[in-house]
Amino acid sequence: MIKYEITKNLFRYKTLKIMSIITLSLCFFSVNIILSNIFDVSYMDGRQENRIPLKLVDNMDETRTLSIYFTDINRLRDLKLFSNELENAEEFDYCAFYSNYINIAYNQAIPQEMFAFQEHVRGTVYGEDVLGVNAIQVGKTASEFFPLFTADGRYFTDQDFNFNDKYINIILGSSYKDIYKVGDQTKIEYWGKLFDATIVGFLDAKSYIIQHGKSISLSNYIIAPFLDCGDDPIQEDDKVYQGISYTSFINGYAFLKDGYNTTDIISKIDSLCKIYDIPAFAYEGMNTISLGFLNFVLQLGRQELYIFGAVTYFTAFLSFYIIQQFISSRNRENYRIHFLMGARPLAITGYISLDILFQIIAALVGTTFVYSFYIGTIYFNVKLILLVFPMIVITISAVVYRDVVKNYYFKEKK
Amino acid sequence: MITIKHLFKSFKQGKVDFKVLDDLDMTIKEGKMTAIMGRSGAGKTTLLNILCGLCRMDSGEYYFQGKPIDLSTSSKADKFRNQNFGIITQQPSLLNDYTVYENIALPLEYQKIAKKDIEKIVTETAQELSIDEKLEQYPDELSGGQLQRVSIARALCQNPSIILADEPTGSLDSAAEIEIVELFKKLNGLGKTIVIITHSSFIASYCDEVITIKDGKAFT
Repeated sequence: MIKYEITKNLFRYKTLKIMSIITLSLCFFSVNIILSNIFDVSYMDGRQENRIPLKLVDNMDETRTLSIYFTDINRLRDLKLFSNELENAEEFDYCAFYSNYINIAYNQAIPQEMFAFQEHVRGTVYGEDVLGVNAIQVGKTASEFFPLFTADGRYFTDQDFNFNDKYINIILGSSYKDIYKVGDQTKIEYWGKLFDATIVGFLDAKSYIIQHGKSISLSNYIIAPFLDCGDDPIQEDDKVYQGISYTSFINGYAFLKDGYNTTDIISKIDSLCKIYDIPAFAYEGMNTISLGFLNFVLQLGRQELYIFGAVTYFTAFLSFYIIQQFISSRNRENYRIHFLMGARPLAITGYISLDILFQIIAALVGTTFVYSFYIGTIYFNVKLILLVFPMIVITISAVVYRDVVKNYYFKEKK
Repeated sequence: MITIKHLFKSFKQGKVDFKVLDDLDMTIKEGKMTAIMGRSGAGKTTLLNILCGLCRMDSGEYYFQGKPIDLSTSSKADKFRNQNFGIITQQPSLLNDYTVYENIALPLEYQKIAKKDIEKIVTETAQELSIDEKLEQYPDELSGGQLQRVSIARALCQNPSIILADEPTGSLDSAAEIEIVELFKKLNGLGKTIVIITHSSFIASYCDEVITIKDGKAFT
């Protein structure tokens, strides 16, 4: 009986339910964008208050386009000039930040958590037995924008970012403390080039980065500097290194400067791409449809962002609640009949809550589809799921209380 | 069959306590057809709600078949109602997206009776009330009288001790009213105890007992 009624109930008042699903989807959609930015702002806490980064994602084909920069010196020069333009732009501050594995000389003490891959972790490069481990690559300005604090040793100095054919200084995540100590040396294969690496420090255990909206602890990571290779490559392995390094360097964060907006960043980068013949960029978390909205969000300070998020949430929730009340009031007679015919209040609570739950799931699935289709990078994560939970609880308690408990009686006819 | 003693019930209206039933005593006899009458707002529906456990007394004693009844919790009240009462309302209270068969079977489904038995009970009851040809139809395809017959069939198929009907002919024309009241009389003739809340002296004239509610008290 209960299954039958649930199915019947699902298809009652279709128009109202479609309205409800659309309202909720709009809420999810906008709150997701807002939350992603609030999360990013929190991440910047105490460092770049109120400056929300725009993530640049290159559109280079991994194998075909990259190889041009290894083989054509003029294209590599253009790429370096483009990178300089990013670093010196008037409209934004650029922070090079990338995450790609690095091969480190084999050490049996390195645990599986550090491995970058599930399989083919171990290999041989230039005669060295190596392990592919998690790593991030940072530009000179990264520590100004991201919480990269060292617990032992020191952070990178400007000299650490200068290219040296043989040596490199690296920082390790806190989990490496049991394996290495400050001053130890090892070998790393960093994007096709073998370096003698010196460990200059260990990150604080709480250090983390945000990738695709998720917080990732850096305790199992190697932090390597983006090396500034002003000169043309001489060695064969320098060509590969410089090609990969600069194509990675341009995948970073642009922080708006006062008086400029997201559109300015995008038009600036688009014009630079044309000048230096670089494939047009994508921007994580946005496209032309969401650009206007995101632009507005990016202009807000932290407090305004919270207020705007709360107002959006509250308005959407209120609309959803009102529609639910309307559906419920039309459905009240049905519930009353079920109750009089022997349905337990719990069954009626189940009918109402499942009906609402289906609407929430439909909105969630719909938004996920639209979001991934238009925005590109799906940010749908725990944040959104957490949003759903109070919505279910509040709606159920409100609607059920009103309709089941209060409408228990026959009405006196006047 | 039902004895109520010293029943008090009041509702708050703003800051004022409005006494609806005030030291009411009454008895409903087994196998009889009883009408409960009174002016609008006299407390007839409140009394009906109390009789079937939908509403709690402020104070008073409730005896059912000679035994005191404890309706202090909603689960006890729900169980008591579902076991003993078949309820018929003024509007037939049918689910419009259920067929007549499904509507009649509804209380039996909640009692978790086997499908085969449900089919037998519903078919027999529908035959008894001459609606067996309407079982596959939906409520919006039936006339007012037919709808009320479905509602009565649904109440009957639970085989309740008492049928409680709240203004069962209030929304019907006079031809349908006669048809329904004669049906009640026929059921009463078969031994069913029937309690009808009504404004109509025509219906009351068919009943064995008439209880009038006035000033919160019951007069026979």
